[in-house]
Amino acid sequence: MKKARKALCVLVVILMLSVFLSGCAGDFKDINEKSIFTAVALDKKGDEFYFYVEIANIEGSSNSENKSGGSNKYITVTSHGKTITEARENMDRQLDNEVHLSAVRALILTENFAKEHLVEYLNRLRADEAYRKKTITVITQEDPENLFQICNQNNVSVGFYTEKVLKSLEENGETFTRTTTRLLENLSAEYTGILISCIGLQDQNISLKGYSVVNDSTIVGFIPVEEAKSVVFIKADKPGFDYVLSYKTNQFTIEVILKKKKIKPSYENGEINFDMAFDFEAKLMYGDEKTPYLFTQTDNANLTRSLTEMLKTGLIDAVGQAQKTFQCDYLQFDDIFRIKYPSQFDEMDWQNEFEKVTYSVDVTVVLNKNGVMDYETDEQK
Amino acid sequence: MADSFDVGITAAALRSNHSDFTERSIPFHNGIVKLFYINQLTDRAAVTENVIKPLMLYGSLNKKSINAHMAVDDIIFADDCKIESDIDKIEEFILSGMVVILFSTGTDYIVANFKKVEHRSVATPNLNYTLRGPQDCFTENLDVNISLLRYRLKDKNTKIEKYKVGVRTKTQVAVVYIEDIANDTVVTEIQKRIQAIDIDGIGESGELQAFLLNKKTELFPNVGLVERSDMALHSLLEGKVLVLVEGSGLALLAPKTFVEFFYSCDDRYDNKFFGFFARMLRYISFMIAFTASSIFVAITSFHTDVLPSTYIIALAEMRVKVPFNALIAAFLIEFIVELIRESLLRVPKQIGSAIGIVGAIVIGQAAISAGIFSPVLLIIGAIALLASFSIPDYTLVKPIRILKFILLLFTGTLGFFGFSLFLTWVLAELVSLNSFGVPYMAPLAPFNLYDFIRVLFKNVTMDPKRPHYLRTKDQTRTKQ
Repeated sequence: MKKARKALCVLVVILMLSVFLSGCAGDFKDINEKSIFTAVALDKKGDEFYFYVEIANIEGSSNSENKSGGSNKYITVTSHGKTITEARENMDRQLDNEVHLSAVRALILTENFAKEHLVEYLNRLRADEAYRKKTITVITQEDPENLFQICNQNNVSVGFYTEKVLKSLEENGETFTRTTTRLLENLSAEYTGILISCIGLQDQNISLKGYSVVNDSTIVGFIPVEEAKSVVFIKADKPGFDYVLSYKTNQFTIEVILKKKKIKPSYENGEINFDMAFDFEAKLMYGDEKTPYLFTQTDNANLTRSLTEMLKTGLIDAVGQAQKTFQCDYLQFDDIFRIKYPSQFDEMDWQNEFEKVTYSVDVTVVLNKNGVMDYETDEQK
Repeated sequence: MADSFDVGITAAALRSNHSDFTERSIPFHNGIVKLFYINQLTDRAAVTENVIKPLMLYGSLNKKSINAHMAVDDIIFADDCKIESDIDKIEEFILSGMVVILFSTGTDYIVANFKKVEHRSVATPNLNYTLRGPQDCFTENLDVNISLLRYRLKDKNTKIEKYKVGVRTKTQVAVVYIEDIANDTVVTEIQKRIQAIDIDGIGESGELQAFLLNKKTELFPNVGLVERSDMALHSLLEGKVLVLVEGSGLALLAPKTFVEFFYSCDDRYDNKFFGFFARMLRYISFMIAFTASSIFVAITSFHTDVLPSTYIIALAEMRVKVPFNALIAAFLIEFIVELIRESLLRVPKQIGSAIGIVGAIVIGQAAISAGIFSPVLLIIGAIALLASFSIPDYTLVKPIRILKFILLLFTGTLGFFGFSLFLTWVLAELVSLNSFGVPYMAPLAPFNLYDFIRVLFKNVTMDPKRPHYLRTKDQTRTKQ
């Protein structure tokens, strides 16, 4: 019995050693022996696909003719090809190390590229398990080469900066972001209508320019960021913006935060209706004239009414724009409807139905003027 | 039985076998008294004053013969003496430091204890240092150690049983326990193992510890070390058994479970919140000491995705100049750390601090400047080294010092899978151990909620009960 046990132990040890010695350490590679990608950009010029990658310059030097950067913290490598795969292969041929994709912060697609090949590349991204699925996908109207050049010269990573800008705006309630996973989910659905953030350069810095409208895997339009506030109110979590309203002789700046949002679908006699209710909390910040403003309750009511009208109009226009201008449900009303009426949704063609959808918008605003440094009115006295 | 034995023959035999025995003959009327002792083990002044002088006075003033009984009752002044008659034991008594007084009349002789051995005075602890607790610790003298216990513990149920271990050394070993608390099974087992020792001799408690192990190949210690008398006291009150070895300043404590190696008496002396904080710190330090370098290797070489991207880039920048891969570098660092640890034990005090500076600055700074190691790996090695010193009973660190290399090998080959594999094996090993019948991982496995809370959160001083896993006779500590 003892001998048999000993023999078994020896066998186990030999098997384990053979596992160790057989090179099971196939994944073994130190991080400094890899090319760490921080941003990937794709463009299409004519028939050629252009691949741009931003690599962390850990060695502080560059020695390839297509590399730019010198002692910059990040360097950009470009390649091109007749297909995406060819472009990527050409890219691999330029790199002296194995690729590390887990640090990619942003996937940047030009409008030209995204119009026809958005789905192809996102599918490629899904198939590559090394890619982070939480990478942010953005569209740009700029030339990626220009984008990378300006940023890298300033020792700024396009990938990190893009992600930080969008995350910061999202935290402030001024935008919403969609990870690649979310985009892929949407693209996998029967009906696809999404908004993708669009970035560009503003005074040599990356900024959010607006939102590209994607209808069924192709870009059909663009909403500038200045016109997208109502869309953000519908799509974002805890959105908030500052508005400037004229009242009497003053231009008041008001901080508006959405407290509660309710979108209730109904389906009767083949007609789809959405009842939307938005509760806003507004805070009067300051005016552009000297105090005292002597802001009375009546003034408060009037200003509230103006603000309510403005917000309501904006929301109605936002839905109308989706319905009529772009004919694309990028507001994701399909999700809301499908949750409540799944079998009905399955039987209908949402693309056509969305254009016939009716909706009502109810806006409630509570305006708080305690934030303003002002003298007490007679009323308050 | 003979009326007397031949003192002359006995003396001649002793002299021929041991030239270092001191012999003193005192004649009296129709007889002679011979004293035998070893100079270096005897208080000669006391022997002269209390034995030789009274015998001489008696012999000169009286014309009677003296025998052992008369001498013990009327002549010599000795608090610890007895009358023996076995001739074969004379040599043994002398070798154990006793004064043997042979009489030409009668068959009996006297064995008197005038032992005086050079030993260290009670000093401050070296291993179990404390800020607040008592500073007296055990010495190499068994009597001193017993006295330290006796003055703290005045319980009539305290038992001190002495054994002689070692055929040649006849080292005195004392087993101390409180009879109405300690588990009989544990006491019996310890006694059995000590009595079963058949060896030339033992010089230190560590050698005795080897005989108390369950298996010869056990890596984790199943007995603890105690240096301070207050720790010994608390352990006895918990129901443990203490083993004192003559010639060793460290006592053995059994049974000892894994979590008890993280106890320090300072946890009792400070408030319970700090005690809890300190214990948590030690548990975390243990994990850091064991796994820090392996986790570094796993992350650097296999699973960089767990780190945020900014850290990945920073890590890569730090490692770009290093010629070794993470596994080799980690092995080298751990080897250097062990080298420093061992060398500092043996370096002379005069140059100890200089060596420390060399180790820290030259090896550390120069290695980074030369690009041999990355700064983060050196920091990890240093933190792991510091963490290993936070465990109060250092015997638990020793298996970790070995196992961490094996863990490195597993992790460096198979990544986190190898890390988990080896840790699982270690855990399985720990769970299957026992310390004199007490599960080694108690109260975690088998789980006992009361003991678990006691171990982690409570100030044990206030706790009304003893740990359940020790199965002591008396479970109650206080009536509150």
